[in-house]
Amino acid sequence: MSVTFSAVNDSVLIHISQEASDKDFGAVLESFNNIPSLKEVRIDMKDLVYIESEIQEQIVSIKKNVGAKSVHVVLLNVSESVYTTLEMADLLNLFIFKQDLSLYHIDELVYMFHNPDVANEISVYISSNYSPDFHNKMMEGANSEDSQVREHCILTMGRAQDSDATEVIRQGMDSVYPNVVRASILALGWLGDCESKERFFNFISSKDIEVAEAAGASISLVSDERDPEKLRKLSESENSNIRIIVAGTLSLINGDEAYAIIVKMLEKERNEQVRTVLVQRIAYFNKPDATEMLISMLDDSSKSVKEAAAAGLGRTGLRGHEDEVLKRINMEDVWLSYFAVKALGQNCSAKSAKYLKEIYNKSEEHLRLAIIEALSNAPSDMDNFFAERLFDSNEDIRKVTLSAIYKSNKKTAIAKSVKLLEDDPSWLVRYKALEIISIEKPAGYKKVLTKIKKKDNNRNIQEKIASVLGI
Amino acid sequence: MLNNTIKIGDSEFLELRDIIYKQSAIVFVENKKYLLENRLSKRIQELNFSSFKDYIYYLKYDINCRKELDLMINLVTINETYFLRERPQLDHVVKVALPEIIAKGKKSIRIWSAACSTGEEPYSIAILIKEAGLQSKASIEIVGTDINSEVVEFARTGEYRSMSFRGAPNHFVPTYFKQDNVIYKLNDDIKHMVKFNVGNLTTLGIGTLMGKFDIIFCRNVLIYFDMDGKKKVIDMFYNTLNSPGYLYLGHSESVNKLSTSYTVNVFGGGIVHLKQ
Ligand SMILES: C[S@@+](CC[C@H](N)C(=O)[O-])C[C@H]1O[C@@H](n2cnc3c(N)ncnc32)[C@H](O)[C@@H]1O
Repeated sequence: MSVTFSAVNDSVLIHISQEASDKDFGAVLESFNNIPSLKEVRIDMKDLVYIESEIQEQIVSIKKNVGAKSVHVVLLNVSESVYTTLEMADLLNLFIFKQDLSLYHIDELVYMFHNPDVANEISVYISSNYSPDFHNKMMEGANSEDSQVREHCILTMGRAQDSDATEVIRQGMDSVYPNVVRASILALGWLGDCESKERFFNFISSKDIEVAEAAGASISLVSDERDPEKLRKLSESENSNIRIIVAGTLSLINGDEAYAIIVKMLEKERNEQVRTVLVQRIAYFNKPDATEMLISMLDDSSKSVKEAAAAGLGRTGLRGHEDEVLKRINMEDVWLSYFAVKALGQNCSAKSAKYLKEIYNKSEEHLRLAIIEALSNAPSDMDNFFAERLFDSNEDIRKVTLSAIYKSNKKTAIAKSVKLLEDDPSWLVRYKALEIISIEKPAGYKKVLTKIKKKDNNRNIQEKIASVLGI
Repeated sequence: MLNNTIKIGDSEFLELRDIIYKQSAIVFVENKKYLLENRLSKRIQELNFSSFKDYIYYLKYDINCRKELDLMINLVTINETYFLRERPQLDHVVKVALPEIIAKGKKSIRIWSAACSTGEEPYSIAILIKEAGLQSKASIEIVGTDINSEVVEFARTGEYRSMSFRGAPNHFVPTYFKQDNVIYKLNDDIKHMVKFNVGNLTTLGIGTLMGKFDIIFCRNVLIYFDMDGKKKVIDMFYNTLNSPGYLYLGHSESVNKLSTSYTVNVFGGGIVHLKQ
């Protein structure tokens, strides 16, 4: 049968094959009359590589047939090219689009591992619905000649915590294909395979950076107290890539010993790229020493190291070092200042707020954005400052200001949002306003949105209003 | 793997989608959010940022934003391709289009693979032309372009992995490639038949810049564009094609509704759009 259908409770599932013709739809349309409580029609289109116009017409007539009864028509597993065809015919608005992987045969799922953009999603689906059939199929795939299938079957077994597969996955580390080796290392890490740890250590020196990174990640998952010392030895490598991987691994392991090694590495390191990574990684240690170390790096001679240090402070928090950060804000080093303002803004004191307001007019636009955000956390009243910014010619400034007002005064924000949604020239600002209105749902909001829907041509605004109003 | 995936918020997604669209005509539909998260998280963290919002500011305000836009496009394009993909169209070129053009007395013929990704498409055309012995009948120039500078660089090397041969018959690899461990190196005679350049199909004046062509391939890229983007590119191709000119689009990427200028010719297993 080219078109099949089955009914479960209030829902009908229709499957269309590539060979289907319009004549195959007669029985389907009739079947709707036999289900008075019909709520949803789901049409599985996974087998349609392209869509003939007669099939397209049939789908539209299904929608017409049930639409009056406010039954949703959901198109499932629509391919990119069918989606485009429907878009060209201006039919997208009629349907809801969803993916339902349960409709695929297991072999089809494995075949989809060839598409790197969906492979992960498929793998997560299989591992979260793991069954003996899936296990068998993944074991078969883990021995496949096809390196993409092998890679994703191995990753899936790791995700599913399939420890029966450990031996097969270990063999993957001997593959000539780096993607298979990487997958095996990751999967064994997820499985907590301590016996493979020595091999992981060897892979840290792999020429393939993704293999080396995977090794670092897996070491951190199975690490014990002897590992930091081994990493310290590796940190003396001549190869800067290895030193970068070691830094990442140490930050994942965390702990005092790892911290001590990373600090030593930073003291000795001359390569700017590695120094930047080390500073980035130090920010992952939740300890006062790390904050102090980052503060001291704000005066480094390298711009990228300084920026990494300032950005890191946003992660560790300032722990009483407000003054040191305030004095580093300058007009030359805009991103350093941007990160510094963000760090200050997390808990913006009255003193910082005063200073940030003072420098606002001298600052470049992206620094201004960070300042407005920081001031939204300030203790003092910023109403006047914010009110002026809503008239700025820069759309981002108006948008960020509206968010800032929303944080401190919901009532004002709602009133401003209604006004901005009506007449701001930038869709970005109108969208922010719409978000606020749709969360707060002030009295009469439906009327406002209905009116805007009639006159605002921006697609993002249109779609958002449709979803808020449920139309 | 040592970095986390950064989540993209709704309005960030819409704004980034807008930026990508303006740069390339590529439209990311709602269910492709994860793709941007997967592909850009590492870059965002490299730049010391912790959110897509920061990254969008960087793309808009940094003095190097032009360079970063190119780099971002390199990271987000979908470059899936393989040798002899949608073979019937390739056969049509060597069995029908080229013989027809040659029969009209043309001695110098130009072929454009207009979104060539890592080069499998133009090299496949080159291989089939060589197999058909057409080089002795006319001078044939093949040009491959793509918006993504990294894939263009890759294409120039002519070095592939087994994944690229999933559509190829058994004799194909040993005849045209030398194997070096897991790498397959394309023979020089084929490599020299194709020239590569970075090229954005939506850049104003790209048609004029590229010169006239007799055959254009633009497969599996317009599916990512919106109607307006598709229409502009299809019109640009029309002006770029000689008469007769042959345009090959991907499976189901018909110009239907986009242009009435072309004559559509359906043949066994494919479609060609003709400029007569
Ligand atoms: C899926 S690949 C198709 C490759 C080949 N034509 C095929 O059919 O196998 C799509 C390619 O289009 C390129 N692309 C996307 N937008 C483009 C644009 N605006 N200009 C030029 N190339 C573009 C991408 O970088 C990608 O390499």
